[in-house]
Amino acid sequence: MKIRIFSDLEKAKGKGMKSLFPERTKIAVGLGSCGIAAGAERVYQALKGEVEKQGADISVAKTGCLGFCGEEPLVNVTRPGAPLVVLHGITEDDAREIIERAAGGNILEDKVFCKVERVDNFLEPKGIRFGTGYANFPHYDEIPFYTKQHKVVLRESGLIDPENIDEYIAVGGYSALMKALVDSSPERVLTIVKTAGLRGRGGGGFPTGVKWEIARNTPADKKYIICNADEGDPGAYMNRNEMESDPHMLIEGMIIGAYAIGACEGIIYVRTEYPLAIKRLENALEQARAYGFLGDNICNTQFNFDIYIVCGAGAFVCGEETALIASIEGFPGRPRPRPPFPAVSGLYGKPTVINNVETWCNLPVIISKGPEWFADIGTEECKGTKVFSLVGKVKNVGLVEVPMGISLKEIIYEIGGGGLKGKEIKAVQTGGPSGGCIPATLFDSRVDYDTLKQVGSIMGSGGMVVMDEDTCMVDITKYFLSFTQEESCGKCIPCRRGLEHMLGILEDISAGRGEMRHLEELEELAKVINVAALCGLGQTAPNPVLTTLRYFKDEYEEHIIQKRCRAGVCDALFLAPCENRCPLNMNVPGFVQLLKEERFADAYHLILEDNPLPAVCGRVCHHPCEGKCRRGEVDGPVGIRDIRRFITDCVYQADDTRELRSPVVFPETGKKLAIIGAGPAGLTAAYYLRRLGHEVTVFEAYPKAGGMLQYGIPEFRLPKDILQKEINVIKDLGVHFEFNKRVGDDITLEDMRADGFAAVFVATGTHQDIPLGVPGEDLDGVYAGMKFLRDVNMGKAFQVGKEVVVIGGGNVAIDCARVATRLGAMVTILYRRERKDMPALEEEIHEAELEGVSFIFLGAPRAIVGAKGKVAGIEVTRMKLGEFDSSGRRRPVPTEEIYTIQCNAVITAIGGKADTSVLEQMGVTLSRNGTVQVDKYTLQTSVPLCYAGGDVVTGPWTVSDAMGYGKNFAKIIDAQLMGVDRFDGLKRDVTYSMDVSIEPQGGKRNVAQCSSLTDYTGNFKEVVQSLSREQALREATRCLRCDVKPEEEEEI
Amino acid sequence: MITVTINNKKYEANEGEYALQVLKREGIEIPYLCYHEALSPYGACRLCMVEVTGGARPGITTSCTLVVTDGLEIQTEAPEVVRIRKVLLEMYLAEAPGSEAIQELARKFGVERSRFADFDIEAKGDRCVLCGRCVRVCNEVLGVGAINYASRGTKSNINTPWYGVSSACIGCTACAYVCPAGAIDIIDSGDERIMETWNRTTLKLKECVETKEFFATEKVIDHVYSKALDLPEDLKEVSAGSRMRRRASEFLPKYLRK
Repeated sequence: MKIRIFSDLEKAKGKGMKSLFPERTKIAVGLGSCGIAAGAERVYQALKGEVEKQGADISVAKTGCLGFCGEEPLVNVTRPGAPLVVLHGITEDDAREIIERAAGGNILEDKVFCKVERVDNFLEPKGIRFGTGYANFPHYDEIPFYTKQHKVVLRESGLIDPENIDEYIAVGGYSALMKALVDSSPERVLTIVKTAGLRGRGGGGFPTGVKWEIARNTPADKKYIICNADEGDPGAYMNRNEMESDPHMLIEGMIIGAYAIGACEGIIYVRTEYPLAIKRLENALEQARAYGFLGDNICNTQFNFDIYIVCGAGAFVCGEETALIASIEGFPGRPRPRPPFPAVSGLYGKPTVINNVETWCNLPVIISKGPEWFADIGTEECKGTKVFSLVGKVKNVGLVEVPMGISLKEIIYEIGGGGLKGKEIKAVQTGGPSGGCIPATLFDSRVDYDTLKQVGSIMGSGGMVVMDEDTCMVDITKYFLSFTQEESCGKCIPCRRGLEHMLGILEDISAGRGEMRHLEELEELAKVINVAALCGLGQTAPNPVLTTLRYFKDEYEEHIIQKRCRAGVCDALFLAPCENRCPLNMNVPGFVQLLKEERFADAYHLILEDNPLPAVCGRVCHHPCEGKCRRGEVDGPVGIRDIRRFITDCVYQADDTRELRSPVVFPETGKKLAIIGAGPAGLTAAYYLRRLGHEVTVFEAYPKAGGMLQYGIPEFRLPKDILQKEINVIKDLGVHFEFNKRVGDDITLEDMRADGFAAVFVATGTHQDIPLGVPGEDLDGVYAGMKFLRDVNMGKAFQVGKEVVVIGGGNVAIDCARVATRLGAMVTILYRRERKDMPALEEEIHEAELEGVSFIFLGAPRAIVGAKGKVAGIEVTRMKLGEFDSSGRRRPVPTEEIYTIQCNAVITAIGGKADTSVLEQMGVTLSRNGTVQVDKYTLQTSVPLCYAGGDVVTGPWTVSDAMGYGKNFAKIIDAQLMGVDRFDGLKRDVTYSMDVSIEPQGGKRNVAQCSSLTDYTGNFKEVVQSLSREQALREATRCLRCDVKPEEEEEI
Repeated sequence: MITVTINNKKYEANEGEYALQVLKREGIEIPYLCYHEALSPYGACRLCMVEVTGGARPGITTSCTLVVTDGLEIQTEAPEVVRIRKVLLEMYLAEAPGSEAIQELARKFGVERSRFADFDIEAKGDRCVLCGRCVRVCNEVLGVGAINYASRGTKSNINTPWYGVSSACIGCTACAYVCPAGAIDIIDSGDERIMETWNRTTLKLKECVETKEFFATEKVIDHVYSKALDLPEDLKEVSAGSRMRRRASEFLPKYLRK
């Protein structure tokens, strides 16, 4: 049947409607490449088999991809009169039940993802309408992944059968073509496209209408159009899906374009790696020919046109239009300089218009709905929508179509759902290897050609790769560059040799052989290549380097100066991910293995070499190591902190510690060093410096050592006798402590210099509470959190009252709440964000909950109200969640609603700060938030011979990070004083088995017992117990031993 | 005639010619490798870059592909141009460490050393700079097509099909003649011409019937006669010198007799 006039189209439409909305139940399986990769083909076969077996009156059909690739395989179930119901994550095993239920008019409810009642496909005035019902299933646009999307090109993808032209016609397909050919002149079509403001979707953004006009106005006997389907960016597959799920849309768009340009032949240049797209296109072309949309006298007009497919061999450079033309002509895919542009002299020297798949796909809807409709979507400069493949370290992976001008934030946090496992998103790469990495701080940027260019990236064809804290920016840059280097055609030297050299530099940096001059060399080469390369591939290849150098230079510097890869990717630079993440770089696999071998003393020694406060850290460390543990990908991370605690507890209980506490000590050097503050940073520095043979004096303002460990963390989390035991080890090494010596009051920097101290390490911490800044803070019954904890730890008797409100969401707030509980109060924590946003450790929050602490979220204190000078309650503003901030959390914004909580005490715990008066007196330069400014790599302050570390530098942070500073300082200052790096000499050689089992051992994670109490009043006993011996040994076998590296494989 | 401004000085130029042709004619120094007056512009070596400061498309571009237009303004010594040129010459030194011609060119433009010199130089030998002159002369001028590019990226090289002995090569030596890097080795030995670089493709040489010197390969003679059909047959067997003598000896007696 040839379709010549509108009534023919109506007939085909009738056929399509029957297929799309059959009179019996229809089950359609999403069979894009993404679905097939997830097992959809097997599901499809299983469903067909089941229908036959059960003799059900159900048709099983194919459809394209609905976009949410992370939920594949997706199966659509449509009963007559009911909504289309999308089931997700289907396997063959579900087939039987799906068919059974469907046959009985039911749905496999626990696999329901969403329903579709109506889709606006723009071509049909009423949209595509399914039935209504199933009130309890969410409509597809209520799923956050879809809510902010604006589907124009993908409007039918996943709903119609891509192999059935009638279904395409049923949803309005080919009516635009008819309209253009029958009702409009080519000039009129050209005007429409120009007015619509469509710009090329391949990435360059050149105005499509202008390109067409040049080709149209260039006189020639033959003109060509080409669809560039040579999609090759890593992580990008928009075009593949467009061809697989809706091939007729592309064909219709190309015919309209050819008509406007006056082309007689069209070519779809698609890579051989897309077999399904090729198959569906071939099928669609045949159907279109059969209906007379291709061939001679299309739609009874004099217009003749046909489309052929040319399969490329998959060279990335063939996406470059002049190379693509060379490839079609049968030559090697190498670009040539422009001008002349293909629109003037292209394929076989004839005027040729090359557009990307998505550009062509936009045309039918522009013709149908008119240019004004299209121009209304998007921004002033960039009209319409853009399809992105959102992939990488983001929760919702798939194809998303958004209006131009949407912010990156909306795409990544709202559509994408933010980071995986709560990890922080660091950057996004747009434009594939030709684009750049945009840091999270710039996620407010609008997605349009010009804004993305401004921030150093490009729109590209639509790849969007999300990166989180586990992505190393040096490594990812190396990856992109190795890709472009591999794909360089080799014609011009900047690309051929320049990229090779840049890659060589990046390989050196990630292997720990980098030097600072390399960064300058990278930048210089990048700029030269950018200007000097012949084609777009070469010119844009340095973009990932330029943007990462611009936004993530600190990561490069860490690789070069500290030989450290913070993301834990460049494995030449670390032992194992846990060790790499640990601020003290503890040899975790080592002590875990030694425990496994039941060599307790060796294990303890290995721990003590890296960490002078092992039992303390075994209790209160925030264990970032476990967040990086690869066992976490299997069934939960190894309980590294618990294992360490078990080992130290065992050794301390045996009480045979004399022999054990004999770490290596170097001969006396005669150098004197002063440390101010006996907190974790100061103690750690003292421990190492003493062992290195220096004379160390620690000045401490309080009567005891320990800092926050002594005066902040409550007894029930860290028994003070344990702390004292470990401080004694340091004391026994011969470190001098001068207690009750406050710098500024009792001793000055000048005094220390005069006393012959070679260097001073300031580690005074942040012991002052930040005030709330609301009325009523001076009322009787308002306590500052850290002072409160300090007073309790110092043994002051307290009556906090019956009802206490703690304000804040950090560990101090939780500690205050749990202490107040033990003082007999009913405690409520008031926090302005949500529970998942609390910075406190999850296990601490959980224990507080168990102890009966209640929480009020999304509430901010407005005023503390009093009666007779005493606290009577607190006025709270209810907050709501606003925009995402750069940490990926929604910012709380106040609402109008205000309410009051009755209470008779308020503890404020919203953060601490350093005592700036002392620091100012020393003369060190402070940053705006009152912390000491130091050089990141040398820890040097603005005052000569004065160094700083710990919370006083970072602001209130963690025990292990503060200790890391102390350890680092010892290493740095020793090397400086002695002229050689002696630090590694402190280690003793311990050997342990390097055998590793192929399969993960040990089963699920072992959890330490908590003392079960019902009444906490007055009870400050330690809550969390040590692992049992059996538990600890079993836990040790769970380690995957990432420190055992494969032997170098021989290159093939 | 149109006028173009180069380094702030006005010159006359022919419409439709390339900027590099003007630079060469006027004796303005600019390095280049892939350009050759007998060949189509290729734009691969990137050395002849100039900065266009006035006209429709300002920016840095290769002068060998830049068609001059009236009023065009270019700078050959703009700092950015010089910087790029020097970095590229460093790359060439690394790519063809064995080529004295390249070293000389680099030296002439102020580059003595290369930071990139520590790379493996792979299959294509250590003198070739992939300018493609040989490929174009063989394909465009001679219509032989014995050599072309093989592989891509850093593995790019110019070679015969399947890296084997070429059945198409006629041994004309035009490739070596146009090579700016002296990268093509040809050895004449006895009655044989060995195209060393083209996988030792060996061709028979013709002996001059008069001087007994070997003067051209048989295939070259056939090729010439297949292109120019009206050449006298007797010239097939004599060298260029003998050819001159033979024609002179035919002509002179007639002249002298007069």
